[in-house]
Amino acid sequence: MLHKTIHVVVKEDGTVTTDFRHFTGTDCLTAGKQIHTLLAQFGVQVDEATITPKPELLAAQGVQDILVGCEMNQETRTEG
Amino acid sequence: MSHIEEGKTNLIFRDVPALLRNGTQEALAEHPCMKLLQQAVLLVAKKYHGEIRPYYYDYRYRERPANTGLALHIPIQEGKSAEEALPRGIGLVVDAETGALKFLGDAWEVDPSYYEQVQRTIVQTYTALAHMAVLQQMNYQVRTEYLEDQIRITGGMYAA
Repeated sequence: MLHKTIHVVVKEDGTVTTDFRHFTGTDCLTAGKQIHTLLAQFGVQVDEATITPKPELLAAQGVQDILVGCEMNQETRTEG
Repeated sequence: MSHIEEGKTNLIFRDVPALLRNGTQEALAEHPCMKLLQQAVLLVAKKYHGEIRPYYYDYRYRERPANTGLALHIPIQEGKSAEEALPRGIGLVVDAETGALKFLGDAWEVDPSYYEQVQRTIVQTYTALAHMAVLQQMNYQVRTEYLEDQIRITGGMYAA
């Protein structure tokens, strides 16, 4: 079984890319929300966030509803 | 399932203004955001061969205290342009109303792009340290790589 990993790239222009790998179900969205909540305690506010679901996500039923429900303020686009 | 998120970050320390108004300097220094900010500025000071003082200078070299107790000073270095230094320092100041992090100082005879780069590096380093702290709180094992223009953090969940 592959381990859950979270890869974060912080660029000099303030852009942060967070890549969730090997999560199952909606665990990655839960982890993403937890990260945002904990970051807020450190004063880090993430604006203009976009979410790119990975191809395997497209197989999951009702995933768009979950994404919209979880990340109301985020623009969502799909790939793959 | 898995996904990728991308977003821009801002630093706003919402509960720091109350400490600035009512708290002691010791209480402020113990605030998690201020501790992390100090670590970030220390790392940036090391990168730029600078030092931290609790004040920056105005144009006439009069001391101006930074309310975070953090100002980064970068002396002119041999072999480098005099414009790539911060002889008057740059103060990290938290807005007493909004909690937003601001950089104050006199950039006279400092290359504007260098001045901006130092500020961006401080914010980038702080943001990376905050992500590291968060991933550790979530019980991930964290590894960090400092590259030319980006900081890469990997958190792994390797529980048995």
